[in-house]
Amino acid sequence: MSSLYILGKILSLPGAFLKAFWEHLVYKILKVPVESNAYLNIDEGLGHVEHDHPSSLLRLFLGNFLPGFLNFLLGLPPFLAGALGIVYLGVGPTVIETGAKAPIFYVYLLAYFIGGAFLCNIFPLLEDSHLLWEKLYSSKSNAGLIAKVLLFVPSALMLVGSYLEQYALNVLFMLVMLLVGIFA
Amino acid sequence: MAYTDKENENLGLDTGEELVPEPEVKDLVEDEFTELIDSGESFDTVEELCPICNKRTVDGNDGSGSRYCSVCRKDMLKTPLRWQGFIAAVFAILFSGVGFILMAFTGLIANTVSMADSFAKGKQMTGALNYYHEAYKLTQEYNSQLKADNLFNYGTRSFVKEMKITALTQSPLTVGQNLLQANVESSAFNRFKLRSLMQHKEIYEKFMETRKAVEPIFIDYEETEAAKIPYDEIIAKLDKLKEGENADKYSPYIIEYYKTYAAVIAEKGTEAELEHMLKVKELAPEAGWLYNYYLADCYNRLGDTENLLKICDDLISENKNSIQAYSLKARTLATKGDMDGAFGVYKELESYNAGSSAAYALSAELHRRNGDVDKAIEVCEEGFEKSEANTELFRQYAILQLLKGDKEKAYKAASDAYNSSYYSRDETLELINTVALCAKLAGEEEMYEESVAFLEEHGQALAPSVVGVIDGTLTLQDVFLKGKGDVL
Repeated sequence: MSSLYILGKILSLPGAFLKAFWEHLVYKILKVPVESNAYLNIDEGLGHVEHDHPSSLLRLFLGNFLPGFLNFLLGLPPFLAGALGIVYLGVGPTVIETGAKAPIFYVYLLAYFIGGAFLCNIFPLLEDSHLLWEKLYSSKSNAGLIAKVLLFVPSALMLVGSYLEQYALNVLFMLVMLLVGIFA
Repeated sequence: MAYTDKENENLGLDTGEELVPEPEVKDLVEDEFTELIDSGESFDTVEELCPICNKRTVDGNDGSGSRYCSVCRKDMLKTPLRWQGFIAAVFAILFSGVGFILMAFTGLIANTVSMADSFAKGKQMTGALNYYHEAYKLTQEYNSQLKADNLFNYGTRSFVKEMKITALTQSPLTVGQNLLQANVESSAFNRFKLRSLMQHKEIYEKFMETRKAVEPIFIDYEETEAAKIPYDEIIAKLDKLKEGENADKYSPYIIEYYKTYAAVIAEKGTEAELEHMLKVKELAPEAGWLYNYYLADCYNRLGDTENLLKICDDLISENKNSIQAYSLKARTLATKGDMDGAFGVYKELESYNAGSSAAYALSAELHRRNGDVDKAIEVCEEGFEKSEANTELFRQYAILQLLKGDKEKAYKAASDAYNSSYYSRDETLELINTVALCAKLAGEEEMYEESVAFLEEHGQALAPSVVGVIDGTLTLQDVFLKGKGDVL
């Protein structure tokens, strides 16, 4: 599991690095202590920063949500451009009607890779997602009803997404989609 | 407390204590546990040490959940952000901005292609083709705006989808020709993506080979009178092609198609044409593009409405935009006297081809044949206003004006139809006969002569109904309100 996770993070390194940076920045703003600024340690924490437990539910939620959301916002436009170009339209390295070279294919490829790398790093570390879920919905939880209702969808999504990232399933999906787009 | 684990040795912590020899550790831990159990204190309250300094207890013991001591936490708050992170963030924002622009351009192309896809899914093939053309035009527009050739293109996948529909609605020969012009062999990517179209290329190549072999058989008879054409000899020569040493180079159904051509030039009659065309269907049922409309025409000429309606239904089920098939079906039903059925067909045509001038033309024709000339004129005028009027709409208007007795207006509409056909290349026998009739009745002799000459140039003559009206043996009402309701 750990090696799958690390492989996934290495394949999406630009996104992993940026996600760790956003985490650090957000925790700094939220005044949550961060242990180190080594963003790319090759271990189960790759692409994340080791931090202390946030002191409130709001900080915990924002710490989990905002870094990934920033990566999502920045990754979506280039990823969509690349996916529409290569996967949907099927743009290849040459223009089929004329035989001319199509440099836009390589632009789409880069956009797909960078955008995809950002999108493969939008969920918190599994233990952080679990912690948020427990703070919200465990028997010991003292979260209010409104918080429980409002945060249900995002925290559930983050929990599921964390599992996807843990097993690098999102990276696998992106790769398969790209290969289908290029060859099929 | 002392530690023996190697992990903590390298933390750089100056404990000032000597490490306890390993065998004694076990005793120490056991003593501590025994002491704890004896005191009745809960395990939860055992104070945890900060994993960074290993000296002080963690703040979380007070219920805050912190995993570090207060001193280390204070230090951790000062952990600096990495400058590389800022560079990465700036790069990501810029890249995302560029990605957004790229997404906008590509999204507009993809949106047009998706419209085409949804039309194709609904079997509205002509609509689908129009949208694929639109997508292609869009890429050309972007490239010219950005002054960059081949920057944007609508993609190989869109090309393949467009070609598949072209094969269905026009002919695989068009696709085969396009593929030969396209850059098919240039890369493995293209070969793989275009594999589903390769059959059309083979059809085209076989067709060309067959045509090359057939042409010498017909070349001597291009100017020959029908009666002097040795029909049986031509048929025998064509049959021989199927058995010769190069037989596998030719398509038997294309050879059969040429037999139909032989029947046409030798004027062997509709039955002979039908017989050969049915053989084409038998040999290549998938080649509907080649035989369907021809069979429909044969059945129409023979008055075999049952088979004609069946073919129209097949054509419509393949392409809901097949205006010609709807018109043929509606006219056949109208001729049979089933006006409700004919109007039903018009409604179906209108629902899939809203705003098309062909729909207005058919509606006007049906109202006329139903005896409601005023309503038909109203429909035509609405069509002129709301659609890009086509040849047939002008022709219907000309017929209606004849029925109303306004010969000048009728002639003007017929002229408009004639001019429109010049640009859209849709001259028909019906059109030329209608133009000739309007010209004659309006006293436009020059135009009348031109129309007759045009027919003669194409081996045709004025339709008996037109001659009848000019001679006075038939009335306009006989021709346009009864029977087939048209000049032919």
